[in-house]
Amino acid sequence: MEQGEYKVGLDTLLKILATFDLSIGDFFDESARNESVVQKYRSLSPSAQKEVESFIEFKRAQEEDGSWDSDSGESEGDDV
Amino acid sequence: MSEATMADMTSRIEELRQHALEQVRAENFDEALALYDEALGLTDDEELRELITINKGHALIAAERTGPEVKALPMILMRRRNAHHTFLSSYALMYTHRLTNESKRAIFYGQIALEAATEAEQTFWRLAALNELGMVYELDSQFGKAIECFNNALACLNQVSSANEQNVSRVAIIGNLGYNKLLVGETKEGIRLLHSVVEEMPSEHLKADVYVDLCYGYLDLEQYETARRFGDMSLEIACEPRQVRNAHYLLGEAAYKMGDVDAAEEHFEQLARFYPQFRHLKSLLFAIDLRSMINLKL
Repeated sequence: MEQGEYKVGLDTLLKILATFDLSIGDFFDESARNESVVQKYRSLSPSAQKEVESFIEFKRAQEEDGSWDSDSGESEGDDV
Repeated sequence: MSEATMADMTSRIEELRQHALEQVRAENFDEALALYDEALGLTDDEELRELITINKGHALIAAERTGPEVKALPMILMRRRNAHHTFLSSYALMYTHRLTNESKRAIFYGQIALEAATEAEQTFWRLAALNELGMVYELDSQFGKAIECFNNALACLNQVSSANEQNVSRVAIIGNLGYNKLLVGETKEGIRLLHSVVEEMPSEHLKADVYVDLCYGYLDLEQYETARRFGDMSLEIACEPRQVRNAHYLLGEAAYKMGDVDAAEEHFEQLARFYPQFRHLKSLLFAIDLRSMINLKL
């Protein structure tokens, strides 16, 4: 082995990589999802994009505050 | 048995052995094995039986089979009856371990074969040992050492008397040297060497390997049209799944780098069919260039 570089056959390499198929899948699924969200955002008009940004800021502030529980709306009804 | 009858018998055994060696070279292994068995049945001479056993062991290895003759090789090597048997048995052991990808063991036996050839001052043995040892170093990713072996083997060529042996060996050694030059980044020199022998390759199988090596080399030079041409030529005559996979992979890379996504998709799809359990293989191939990690001969 020279310069720390060990080469293997394509078949061996792909069989090794196949054992990480699920993780690779997660990586590509996540990337695809992010790309899809960004594309949808870009397809909006400038004013709609501003609305989305304001809504994101609103949700972020809510979560940082800790005063809002995502399940609270449903649980209110359950107590009645 | 009279001396004349003995001489006749010895001559008959040698004739059978030589005929068997020819059959091995022609890859007619069953015929070769039968001839060796016939020769073994004709002699009680221990030295001669040992030589035929080594030859038969080598034929079994070449046929990717095993048998008592293959298992006997380490013992024969340890006995070191003479330089010829030491060379042949160590060479056969290097060869079998190369085929099973046990590179460290193959290197061990290869060095013994090379020493035996050098001590016996047999140029053709030395040439054969150097070429085989070069392939073993290549398998072990020791490309600098592999190049050194192939260069030394080429230096032996001029001293080999048989024109036929000289030509077959030259083509094989230069083909090996060319590919290793590609692997160490001496791409133009590697391509030049491969072009000098590609049309002389004695079989379609070997030619398919050189075509795919050229595809790999031209990809490295970013000459994608030429890379695709050689990739297609390799695919046309590919004889084994390894060659088909390599060609599809490199053709996919070349197409992708040229912006021909449809062709890349098609080649990666063909490659992905070998790995039905690997669902995200195509996505991976579009995202990552694996060329620096692979040895096309494995």
